[in-house]
Amino acid sequence: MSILIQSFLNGICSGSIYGLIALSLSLLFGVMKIINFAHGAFLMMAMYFTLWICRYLGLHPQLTLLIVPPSMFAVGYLTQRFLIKSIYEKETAREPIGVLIFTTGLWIFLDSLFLLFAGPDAQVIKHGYVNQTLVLGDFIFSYTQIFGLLFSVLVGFAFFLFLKKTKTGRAIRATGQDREAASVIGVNSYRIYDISFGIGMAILGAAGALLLPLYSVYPFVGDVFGMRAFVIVVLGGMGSLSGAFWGGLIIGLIESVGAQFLPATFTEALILIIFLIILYFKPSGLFGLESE
Amino acid sequence: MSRLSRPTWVKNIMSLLSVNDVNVYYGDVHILHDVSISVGEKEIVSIVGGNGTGKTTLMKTLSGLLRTKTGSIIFQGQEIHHLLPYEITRQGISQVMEGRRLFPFMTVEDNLWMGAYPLNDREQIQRNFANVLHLFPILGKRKSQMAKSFSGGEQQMLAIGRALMASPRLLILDEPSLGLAPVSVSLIFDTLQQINAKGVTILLVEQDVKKSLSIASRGYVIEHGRIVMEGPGQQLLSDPHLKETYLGI
Ligand SMILES: Nc1ncnc2c1ncn2[C@@H]1O[C@H](COP(=O)(O)OP(=O)(O)OP(=O)(O)O)[C@@H](O)[C@H]1O
Ligand SMILES: [Mg+2]
Repeated sequence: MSILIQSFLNGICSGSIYGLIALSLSLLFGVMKIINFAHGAFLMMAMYFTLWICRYLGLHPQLTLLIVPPSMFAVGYLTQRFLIKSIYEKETAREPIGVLIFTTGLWIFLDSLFLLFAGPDAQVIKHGYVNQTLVLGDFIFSYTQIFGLLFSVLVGFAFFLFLKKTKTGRAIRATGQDREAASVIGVNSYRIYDISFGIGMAILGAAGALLLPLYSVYPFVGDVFGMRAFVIVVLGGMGSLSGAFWGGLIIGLIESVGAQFLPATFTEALILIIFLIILYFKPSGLFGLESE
Repeated sequence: MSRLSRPTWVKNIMSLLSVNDVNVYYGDVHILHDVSISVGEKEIVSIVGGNGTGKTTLMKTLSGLLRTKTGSIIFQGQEIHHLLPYEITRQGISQVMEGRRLFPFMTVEDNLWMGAYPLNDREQIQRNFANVLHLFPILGKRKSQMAKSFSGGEQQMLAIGRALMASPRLLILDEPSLGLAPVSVSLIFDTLQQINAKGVTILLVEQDVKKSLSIASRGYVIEHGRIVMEGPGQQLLSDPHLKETYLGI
């Protein structure tokens, strides 16, 4: 029984980080109506940043959270501003198909780039912190897991407050709901895209920095997480931000609790089976189509 | 030259907005043909015309969503036809678009705050907010309700309120009466007159020819993308062609 509870808690911990990854993907979809196929690749980039900062600057893994999200904000902002925007401008009248193709290209490019410069091997952070544990009664937690959970919830909460309470946050929501109307009332939608892409990547950066102590990083690590994020976003309801976060928790739980009964490859299949069942009964995802 | 041929009442009005020989296309399809209109300071100007004659196309060109191939659009003495929509709004033009175009998953209050997006002066924003609630008390009572849960008439009030939040000098409305019950239509038209009395110039596009021309100081009739008639509202209303085509008399 306590093993079950333990795995339940583990699932919540990793699920909350999945939630962040899916949240950032869902933000880009909700605001810009694009599916960022390079999402996993950007996560991989954030994980390498984290690794290098720990390794070469000797920083504590937790402190990387002060550096990785802002750097990823810059990466996202500049990618949108100088690469995606010009494609987007040419396609204002239709679905941004060109952007989908571009992000797919970017995914392959980034994977190959990191393969070239970082090598194919899986690498981990070597730091005492990584192995610290917290014993609570019968339960043993890794310190990094607990921290990951708390920090993810904090980031998610701060992000929701930002969207609800600030002028820029409201403009982001407005642009997602009706881009033309937003521009007619005075919103520079391209600037909102730049900022949204930046924020999406910053959240993804936080997820990467939280994940690295728990996993190893290699050039294709993003593919696994990216694919999972797609599943979560569709499960939670395309464009629903809270849905993405709850979807992340659900997938984390399935994976972790399922692993108690099934071999790892089967949990992967189990996730997809549950995904299909939910979509069969509720095609718009668990949390409907409400774009927030 | 064309100025000289205009009737005297046009010359006497200092133009706030003037649209000169605008030609707008959707791809290869020529929609607006040499359209010229002018709107004077503090006027209510109404553009009437049937379905698909290019009224919305003209409004979208004014807001910067569509571009004219030739001619110019001048607001307060400055060319605005090359500006982006958000820049045009910052010049002092607010538009209530066709279909109201509210942010459906935002509260009434948030929709209104979004209207003040171009402003930075907090006191000004608070004043505008109070004025809008004074004009439409129902918006104040339902502040935290989602916009999508509103009825058509309430949505139109919210859309007008949102446009007023930016302190516009010129308020443009594209078919505000569309799909509304007669009571709501009267209320909207009354409100437009109140807004105008406070010094906001109004350019109105309508299919409700009678109501809109009767509150308008001047009107234009548009057919197949061309301005075919212009004149004071009352004069147009008594025109035989207009009576026959639009009022069925
Ligand atoms: N996006 C578009 N692409 C191509 N043609 C369009 C487009 N939008 C409108 N049109 C065409 O342009 C013409 C004018 O349309 P517009 O919407 O300006 O008319 P309207 O006067 O506003 O009509 P309504 O009273 O029905 O709103 C119509 O013939 C319409 O079919
Ligand atoms: Mg129209």
